[in-house]
Amino acid sequence: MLASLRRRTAALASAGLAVALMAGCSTTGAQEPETDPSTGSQETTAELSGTLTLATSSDLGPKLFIDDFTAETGVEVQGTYAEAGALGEQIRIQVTSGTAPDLFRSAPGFAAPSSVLNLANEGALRDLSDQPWAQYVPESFSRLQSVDGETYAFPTYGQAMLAFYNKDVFEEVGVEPPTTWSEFIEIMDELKAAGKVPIALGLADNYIMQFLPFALAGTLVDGLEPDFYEKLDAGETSFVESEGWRKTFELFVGLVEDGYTTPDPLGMPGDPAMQSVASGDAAIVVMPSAASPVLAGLMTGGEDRMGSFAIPATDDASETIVPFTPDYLVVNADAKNGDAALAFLEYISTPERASQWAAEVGAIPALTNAEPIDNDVNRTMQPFLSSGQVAPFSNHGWPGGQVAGALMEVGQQVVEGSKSIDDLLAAMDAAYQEAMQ
Amino acid sequence: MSTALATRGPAASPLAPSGASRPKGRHSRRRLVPQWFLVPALVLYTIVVVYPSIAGGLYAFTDWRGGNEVTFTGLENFRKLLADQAAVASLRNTLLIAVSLTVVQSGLGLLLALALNSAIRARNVLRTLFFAPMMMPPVIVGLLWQYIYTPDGPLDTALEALGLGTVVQSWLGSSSVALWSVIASVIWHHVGMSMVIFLAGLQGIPDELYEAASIDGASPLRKFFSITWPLLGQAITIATALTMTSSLKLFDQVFIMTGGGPGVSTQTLSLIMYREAFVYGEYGYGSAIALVLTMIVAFIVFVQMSITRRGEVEA
Repeated sequence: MLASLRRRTAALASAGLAVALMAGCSTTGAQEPETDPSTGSQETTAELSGTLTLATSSDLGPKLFIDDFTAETGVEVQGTYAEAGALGEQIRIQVTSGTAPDLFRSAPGFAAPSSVLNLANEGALRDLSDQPWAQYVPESFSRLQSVDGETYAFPTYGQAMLAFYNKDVFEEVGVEPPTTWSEFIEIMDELKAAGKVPIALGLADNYIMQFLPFALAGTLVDGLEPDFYEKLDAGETSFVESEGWRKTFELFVGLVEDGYTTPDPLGMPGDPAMQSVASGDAAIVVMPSAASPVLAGLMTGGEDRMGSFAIPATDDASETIVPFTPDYLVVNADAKNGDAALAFLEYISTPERASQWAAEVGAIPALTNAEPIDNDVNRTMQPFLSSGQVAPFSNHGWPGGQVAGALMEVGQQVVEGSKSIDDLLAAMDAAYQEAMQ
Repeated sequence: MSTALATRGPAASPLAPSGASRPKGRHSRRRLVPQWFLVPALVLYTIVVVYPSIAGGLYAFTDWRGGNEVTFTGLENFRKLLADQAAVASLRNTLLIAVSLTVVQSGLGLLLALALNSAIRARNVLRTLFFAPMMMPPVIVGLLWQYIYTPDGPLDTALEALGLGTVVQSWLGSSSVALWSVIASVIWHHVGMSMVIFLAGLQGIPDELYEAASIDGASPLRKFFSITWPLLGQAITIATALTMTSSLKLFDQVFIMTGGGPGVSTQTLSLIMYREAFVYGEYGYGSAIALVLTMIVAFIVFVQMSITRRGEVEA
């Protein structure tokens, strides 16, 4: 039991990172750098000095480059590393009190008080539009990091909302990853007939309430109603009127009601649900790719026995859109060593280094010119990234955390049967309006 | 006390010349010396406690969202709180938790203390065992009990092994059960503290009173109500006040075990205060909730202590 608790604690930390991703000194001078036309990167010819203060959620990525960056530029990097949620709360206070680091992690969109757009709207972030790597930021990220067409964040890496499955279970039952909704339901039936729980669902941890709906909404909302959020902001539509969101929740609730998920999902926490996939009792778990190393670690065969696929939501495979969202670094508008911060971003933005950082944290490179990584998650995502069939996690485009809060709170009641999908959509509308004020 | 010491000092000195009196200014300067030693602590207390408390109270009347813009909004946050269904449900849950924890935890703590104040041989081991959960951080207790309550988990397995399979249910997944499941885990965690307070109270009661009662032929029940209960008055006041205060502020275990769900069934005022301030960035509204919670805690504990203190008797 102690081992189980340790695993759960580790998994909790990782899940916390996934949730946070969802939500989310001294002076110097510099000269104009020269641009390398092949990579868009600039050789750092600037004369830099002093100390660069950096705060991120993990030292895994930064530590790959800090020593070399210091050797090349003479800038000492003073790093602070904390769990993403706690870091965000700390950064919010530091920005207000004028003590924020030069370069720090920020969540996309408006997901948290310290998110990119909240801080950019306050004038707390430096405009990064003229940086050489800005041309390689995926178009789908623009509404998460741009204000009036100017970009305010560097996408360090990305994560996708995918279905992760136990290959041994799939081979035992004789099923293949689906590409359409009908195929998806077929394998659900076959897995269920074989005595397996098709989808492990641990809704006792309420943030997990977002995962499967977001995976479906990528196709049904961002794909099939691409102007939904524009119209919503203009007051021309609502969640209640959205066919995409209604269909999203109908499919989700249908999976629960038809017995394709963990029995009593509201009583099951997220970590034991994930463990049931590792043990082979369940076949699939839907979660952000940032949590996949935890699942791989729990599986007997490790990463080799874990597969992934994009969740289809229609019977046309070409319509599938995968939620893919970035993790950001931003530059403090009042940075004491802003030039060093810009130089550091430029340093890590080369195709090779962007890929190395992503590989180190088990993620997907975010810049379009980054070198692809050869692992299961990246192989699953590559076709969607190449064709641009990606969209940010739904909550990252919402104007505040209230909408996700309504989804989690009322969504649980819908699963329990005490509220309807109409109630849920109305609650999301009310929360959206409240957050817009 | 400092004044008394300063006054006694010179008078007690054998070297003081008879009939001589010290200059008044020097005397009063010496009297002030001990008070100057208090200044660093008072400054620190003001910076760390007084100022943030007052600032927090003032933010409750603003729309502060973490940035530099702050607008005074009067009672708007409090109107919003009254109209907020989740907040009203949270208040109801908070009061339910406070009352049930205070009654059940204090009752169990008293029973344990009475049992372990007897001459049973394993009493020291049992006292340690019952107090041990208090040494665990609430987050770990939350994770532990979330695991125990897992469907087909340790609790369900134990109940089925005992032939009580019909009792098995969705401990954290049912709106009607989840709050009681959380309360049970908090009682398990904190009952040792109540037990220790009552044990201290019981050990302060002179044995002679029980011996005299025995000679008079009093039954054990009569001894309890005529001697133990009245003389435990101070312990009851302390145990119930501490339990009431901590349960009104309950956060960690709810946050870890249910996050306030399913729906709003286990939400507490502390939880929505955290959510509004740190998740939604509504620091002004969060401060208003904190202010209301503080006033509720102060009022309830004041009333509760007034009642329990009336029953206190000195041994």
